[in-house]
Amino acid sequence: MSEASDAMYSTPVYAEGLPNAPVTRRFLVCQVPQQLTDLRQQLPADDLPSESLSAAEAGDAFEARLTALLQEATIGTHLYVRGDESFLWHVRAAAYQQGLMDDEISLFRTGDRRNVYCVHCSHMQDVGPGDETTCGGCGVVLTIRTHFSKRLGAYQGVCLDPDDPYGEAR
Amino acid sequence: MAVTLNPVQTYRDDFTFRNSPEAIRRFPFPFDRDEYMYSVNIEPATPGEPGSIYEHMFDVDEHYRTEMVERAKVLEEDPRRCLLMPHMEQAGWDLLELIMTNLSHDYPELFSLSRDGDRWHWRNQALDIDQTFTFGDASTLPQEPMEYITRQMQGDFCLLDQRDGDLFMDAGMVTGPADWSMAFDAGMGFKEWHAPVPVAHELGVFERALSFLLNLQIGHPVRRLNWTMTVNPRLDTSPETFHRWGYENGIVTPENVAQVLNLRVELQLLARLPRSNAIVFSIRTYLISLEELVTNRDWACRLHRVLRDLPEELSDYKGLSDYRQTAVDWLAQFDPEASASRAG
Amino acid sequence: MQTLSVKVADIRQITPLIREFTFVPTSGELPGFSAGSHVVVEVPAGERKQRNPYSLLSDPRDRTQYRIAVRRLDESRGGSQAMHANVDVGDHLELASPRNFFPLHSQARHHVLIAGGIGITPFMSYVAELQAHGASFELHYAYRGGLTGAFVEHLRERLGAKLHTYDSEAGEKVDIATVLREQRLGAHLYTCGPASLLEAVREQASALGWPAGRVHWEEFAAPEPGVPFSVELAKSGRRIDVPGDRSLLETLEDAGVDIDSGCRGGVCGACKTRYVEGQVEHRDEFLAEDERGTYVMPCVSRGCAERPLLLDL
Repeated sequence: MSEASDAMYSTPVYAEGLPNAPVTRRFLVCQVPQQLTDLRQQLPADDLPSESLSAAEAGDAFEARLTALLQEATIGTHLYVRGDESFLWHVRAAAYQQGLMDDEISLFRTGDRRNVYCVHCSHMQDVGPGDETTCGGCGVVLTIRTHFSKRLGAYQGVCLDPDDPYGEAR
Repeated sequence: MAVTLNPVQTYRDDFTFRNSPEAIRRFPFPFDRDEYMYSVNIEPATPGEPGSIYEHMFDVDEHYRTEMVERAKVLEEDPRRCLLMPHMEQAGWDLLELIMTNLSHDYPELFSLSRDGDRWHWRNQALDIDQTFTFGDASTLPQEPMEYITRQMQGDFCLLDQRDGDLFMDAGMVTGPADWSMAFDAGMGFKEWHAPVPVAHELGVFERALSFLLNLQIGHPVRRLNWTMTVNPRLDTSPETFHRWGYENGIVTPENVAQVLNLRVELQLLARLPRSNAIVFSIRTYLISLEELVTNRDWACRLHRVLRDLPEELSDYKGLSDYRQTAVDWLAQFDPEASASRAG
Repeated sequence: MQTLSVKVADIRQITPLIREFTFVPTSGELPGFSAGSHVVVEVPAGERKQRNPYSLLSDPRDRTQYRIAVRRLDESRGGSQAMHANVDVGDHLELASPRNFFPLHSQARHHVLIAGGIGITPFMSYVAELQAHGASFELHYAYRGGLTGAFVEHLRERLGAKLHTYDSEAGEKVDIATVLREQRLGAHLYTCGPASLLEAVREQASALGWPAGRVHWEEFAAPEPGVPFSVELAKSGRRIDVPGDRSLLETLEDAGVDIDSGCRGGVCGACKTRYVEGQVEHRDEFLAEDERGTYVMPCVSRGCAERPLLLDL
C-alpha cells in the first residue's frame, strides 16, 4: 500500500520550502551535522542571528542544550528541524513544552525511522519502513496505520489479526 | 416517569445484558429512510416526549448500574481511558455542575443536590453515594471533577478546548467507544480525530460541523445519532482491547446472528460549557440485539435495506464486512419486497 | 432567541464619558461565563430596539450580577447613546446569553494585554480570571486621563507592577515594539480598543515575527452607516428596505426574520447568510475571499442602491 493513498487528515505533512512569515532569529536543529549544512543551504543568505545544534555532536547533552536554547528564546524565533520522523517529533515535543506553536516550527524529514505507539499497551517503539511490526511491549503483531498523534509523535499501531494476535499461527 | 433500574448485568464474558420491552420501545432507531449516507445531521437538543430517550438532557435508563459497574472495571484494568489535561479542570467543574443539576432535577427519586454557596451536597441513591464537597476545590472530591461525575453517568464524555479556530480533545472519559482510542486521540483537533472516518472528509462534513460547533451557544445544546454494529452486547469495543474481542467478528453464523449481533446507536450531545468556554461532547451508547430489534417489524424491514445497500467503504470502516451478508440474509425475511422476490 | 431578563441594579458615572451598569437577574442566578465574554443588550431606542454587544466586566465566578461599561459616542447611532439617556436604575432589560469571541488561550504561558480606552472592558474579566489562577500576565492600558481611564485606580490597587498605564493627556504613549520585543516563547498577545491601536499592534507584532496565532484582538466596531438599499427574501418573496443608518441584520430582526447573530461586528460568522443575486459591499473579517460571491455577513456588510440583494432566507 502506498503511503499517499492511505494518508489521513492526521497524517503529518513535512516542510518542503521555507515559511513566508517574518522571523527575527533562527534555530537549526539536526540529527547529524551534515544535515545542518543542508539546512543552511536552504535558508536565505541574510544576517539574522542563528544558533545550531546537532544531536549527534551534542550527545547526552542534547536535551539540556535544546531546552536551554528554547528557554532563553524570544518570540520571532523560528525552529528548523531536520532528521527522521522519530527525531522530528521528539524535538517538536520539547519545543511545544517550551511554548512554541506549529507556525514557529518547520520539520524537514529525511530517512524513514518513525515511532509507533501500541494502542494495546502504550509501548512506543522506533521502526523502519513497512506497515507491520511486533510490539516490543506486549508481543501483539501490529499494523501501522497512517493515523498519527502529534502529542505522542507516533503512528497508531493496532492488532493486525485478532484471530491470531500474537502471530503464532503464521 | 420514574425509571426502574435493572440489577447489574454484564457487557462482557457471559453477556447477560438484555433490553426490557420498555427499553426496546424507546430504543433510538437511527434510520429515517431505507438508505444511509454519512451526514452531519445535527439538530437542536430540545426536550422530547416523556419516556423517550430525548425527554431529558442526560438519559438515565434501566442499564444505569450495569454501565457504571462496567466503567469501573474498564478503568481498573486500563486507567488510560480517563484523561484530563491540566487546563481542562475548569471544564470538568462545568461538566459536574451540568450533570448534577440536570440529574437532580430530572430524576429526583435517584439523585439530589443541595447547594449553599460553594458547599454542595450530592446524593446518588442508585449507587449509594453521599458526598459533601466544595465546588471548585478538587481536593474535596475522591477524584477530579470530570472523573468523579462521569463515574456516575452513562455514556462516554469528551471535553473540547476551543482555540485557534479548532476544538481540541483535551480531556475525556471513554470506556465504551466504537473503535477509537482516547489515549491516542487526546490532544487532537476536530478534523484530526475524525481522520479515520472515510468519505465524510471529501464531502466537507467536518469542515461544516466544526464551524457550526465553534459558534455553539450556552443553553443551546445540539445532538445527532450515529450507529454501527457490535457482536455480543460488548460496550467496550475499544482499539485498546481489539486483540481480545476482534475475533468475535468472525463468530457470527446464520444460526446465532439474531442473538449475537447488535445494532449499536450513539446519541451524541454537544453543549457549550459556560465558565470554561469548552464544549462537552457526550456519546451515550444504546445496544439492541437483532432478535430484540425485529420485535418492531418496521425497523426490521428498514435495517435489512440499509445494511444491504450500505456502500462498501462505510461497511469496512464500521467493521461490518465479516458478518454483513449473514445479517442481510437473516433480515430478508422481514422485508416484504425481499421475501416476495425470493418466493418469485 | 432565548434571552435573560435582568434588572438594572446600579448605574455609576465613572468618567464624564463612561457609565457602568450593574444587572441582576429577575429570578435565580445568571449563567456563568468565561473571561472575555460579551452580552448583547436590547436597548430601547425610540420605537425600535437596538442590540449592542458589551463585554462583561464582572468576575466570571460571580453569578449574582453582570457589569458592563458603556462609552457615550457622539456619533453613536442610538445604542450607546440610548444606554446613557434611556436606561435607569430599576429598569428591566433583556440580554442574550454570554458568548465569547475573545477568550484566553489555554496554551499561553504568559498573557500580554494591551487596552486602549473603553477597550479595557474585556480585560476586566481577564484580570479576575488570571489572578484567580495565579497566571502570568501584564496589562498595558492607554487612555485619556479624566475621560476614558475608567478603571485605572481600581486596577492599580489590584495589579501593582503588572499594570502599565499611558495617559495621552500627560503625553504618555505605549511603545508597542518595546512591549513585544522581549517576550519569551509561549506568550500570547491580546488587544482591544480603537481600530488604530489594533492595527498598530497587529502590524508591529507581525513585523517582529509573532505568528498570527499568538495575536488576538477584539474590536467593537459599531456597524458603519451606508447608503439605503433593499433586500428580497427568496423563500417568502418579501421585500425589505434597509435604511442608511441601520445594519442589514438589525433591519431583518426588526422585520421579524429569524436569524442567528453573535458578535455583531463581522468577526464570528454566526449571521453568515447566503445570497443568490445582487452586489455586496463586504465589510466583515470573517468570510474567505472565495466565499464572498455566495455569502454576506449582514451584521456589518451592505447591499448597493442600484438593485436589491436577493437573500436565501
